Amino acid sequence: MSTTAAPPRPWSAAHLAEFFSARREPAWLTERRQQACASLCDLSVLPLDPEEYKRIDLRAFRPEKFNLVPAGRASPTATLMQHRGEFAGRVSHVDGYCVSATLQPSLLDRGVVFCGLSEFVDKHPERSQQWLGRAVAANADRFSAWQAAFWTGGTVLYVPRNVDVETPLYSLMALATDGAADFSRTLVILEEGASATLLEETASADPMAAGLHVGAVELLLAPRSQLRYVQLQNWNDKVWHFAHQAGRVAGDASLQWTVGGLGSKLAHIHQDVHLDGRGASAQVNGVTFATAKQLISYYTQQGHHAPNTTSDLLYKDVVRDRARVVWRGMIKVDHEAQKTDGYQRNDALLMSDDCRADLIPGLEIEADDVRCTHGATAGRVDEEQLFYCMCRGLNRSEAMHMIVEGFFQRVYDRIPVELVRDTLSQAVQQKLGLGG
Amino acid sequence: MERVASLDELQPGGRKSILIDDTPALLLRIGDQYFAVEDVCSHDGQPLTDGPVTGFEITCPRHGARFDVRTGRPTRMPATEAIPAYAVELRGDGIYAGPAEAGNPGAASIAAARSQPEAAAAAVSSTGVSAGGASTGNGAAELEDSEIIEALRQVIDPELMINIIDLGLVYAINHGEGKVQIDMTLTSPACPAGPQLVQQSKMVLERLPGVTEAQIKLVMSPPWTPDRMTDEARDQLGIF
Repeated sequence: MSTTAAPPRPWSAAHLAEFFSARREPAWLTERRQQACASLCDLSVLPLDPEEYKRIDLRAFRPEKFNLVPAGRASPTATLMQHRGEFAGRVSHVDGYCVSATLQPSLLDRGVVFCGLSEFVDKHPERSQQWLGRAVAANADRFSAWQAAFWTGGTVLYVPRNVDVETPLYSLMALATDGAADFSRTLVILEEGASATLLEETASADPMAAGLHVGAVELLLAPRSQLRYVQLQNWNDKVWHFAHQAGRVAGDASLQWTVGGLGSKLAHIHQDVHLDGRGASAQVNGVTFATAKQLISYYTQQGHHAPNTTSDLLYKDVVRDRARVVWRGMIKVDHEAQKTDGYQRNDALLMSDDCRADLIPGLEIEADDVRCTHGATAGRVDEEQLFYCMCRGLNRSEAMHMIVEGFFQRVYDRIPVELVRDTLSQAVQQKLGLGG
Repeated sequence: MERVASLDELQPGGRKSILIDDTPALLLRIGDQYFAVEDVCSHDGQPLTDGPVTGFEITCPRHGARFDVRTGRPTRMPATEAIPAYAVELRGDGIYAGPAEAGNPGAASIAAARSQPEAAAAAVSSTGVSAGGASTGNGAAELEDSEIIEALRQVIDPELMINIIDLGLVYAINHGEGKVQIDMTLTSPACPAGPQLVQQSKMVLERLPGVTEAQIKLVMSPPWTPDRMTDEARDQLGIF
């Protein structure tokens, strides 16, 4: 739709030079940032891909209103997940900088790394050079270039060969300062046969503080590894959220990826799952609840690059008031990816007259022996169901809540971590305006 | 209210993309009057920014939907929902715009006291209503073929972007006692837009004052040929 996004004036080359000198990073990284900055300048004058951005109204987006803030000062207030469960480790970020990182000593001894990205670059330069940017290319579009040039922090999880991290790990990214631009990214590396669960949450400390998040998520799964990754996006409704998220799944590895989209003023997420090796599988779950004037958008791709791979995507969206949900999905099957089993489905529940859902599934298949199915539905809350619930003594809003909860249930059923189910359900209750 | 432009920024017929309460809006100057509407077509959710303006109507550049910039009301298919119209005020230091007052919806009013757009807008809608109410008795007698034809010009073939009258799709019009019956055809028997054209024709006819029921009969004989198009339609399609 609109083309004016980045880079605005505060993000010039001079700014970048100043930014580098303050960061003292290895030469390879500085070079990469400079390349990304060059891509950013090139891409910013080109229009955004209409296929992906046509329905995203960026006309009200003023990047010059946001700026990087000096290293983290405040600690965030309570968030949805933070104190609810036992975690084997926690990493917290405020305004894009890591403020604390802890990990159980027993896991440290087994070689697990769970820390801030800057620390990881310091202590494991070879690994970071090898892995960083493997799944999300800096020159994919202007937002990925912007992120690659200016990232300040992020969460890294590294699990060595055959290590099984049973207890979930927790990562928090918070915005505290008004007008802050947060450029944190997530990098997860599982070596062969490793397994882990990472819960990640984004939150605003101040409900009135405007913010910008330009993020990236990279999930790198070696053969036979298993990752469960949950990201709950719960910013306040004044935050602009852009992210490139990608998972690369090697042979016989399995990825279970759950996204919750609740907060933000406008969120656009480009989510790719690449199945690179024979027998790789991925399950992608999404829960979205947009209210007021929010716009929450997903551009998902399931790429099958090897034979016998499985992908299964299920999104459920609830839209209310004047909010909009946009989803453009694609299953892409390469020529050599025979015996692929791909599924994608997105259901939207429309709760008001003025809300809108644009759901566009897609298939692009080059192989000739596959099973691929897709679908999208949009509908209103059934008055008869409401009436039925109200006959049983519920008032209208309780009945509405029960129906919304039931609508999300199919996704909840696929989430194995009880904490995540509870958290999502509580967040949904809060948004519906009922207790919680 | 927010200041959105200076007093001498827009020439008559000029326009400016603005933000009102963080929502993209379009400020228009028509003659000496200023109007502001949300810059999104209620049909496809995309901007109206470059749409042509005729009279007080802006036309969506993609599918031809039209909106009255004074009230935000849709005046042509495929839009059926209004877009928000904002209140505009001229003050000493510039032009201000903000949400329309609750008691004064749609009167996205304007210039100085010398103009009376609200009165005009009100008159339009009230005559529309009263004419419909008063004329039901003898409305059928008063209804002219030309009114029906004008109404049907609002129905646009979504592929060719030409209305069904100029395409020559309408074969016969019969009316009387509040009922209208038209015979129409399609450019091909399997035209995918068929149900949409029939539905829209029915809607525009039933919206005419004095019409209680419209029947659309699809006929395939004689088959349609491009010869039936008006010269204007040919020009639009580049057929000479």
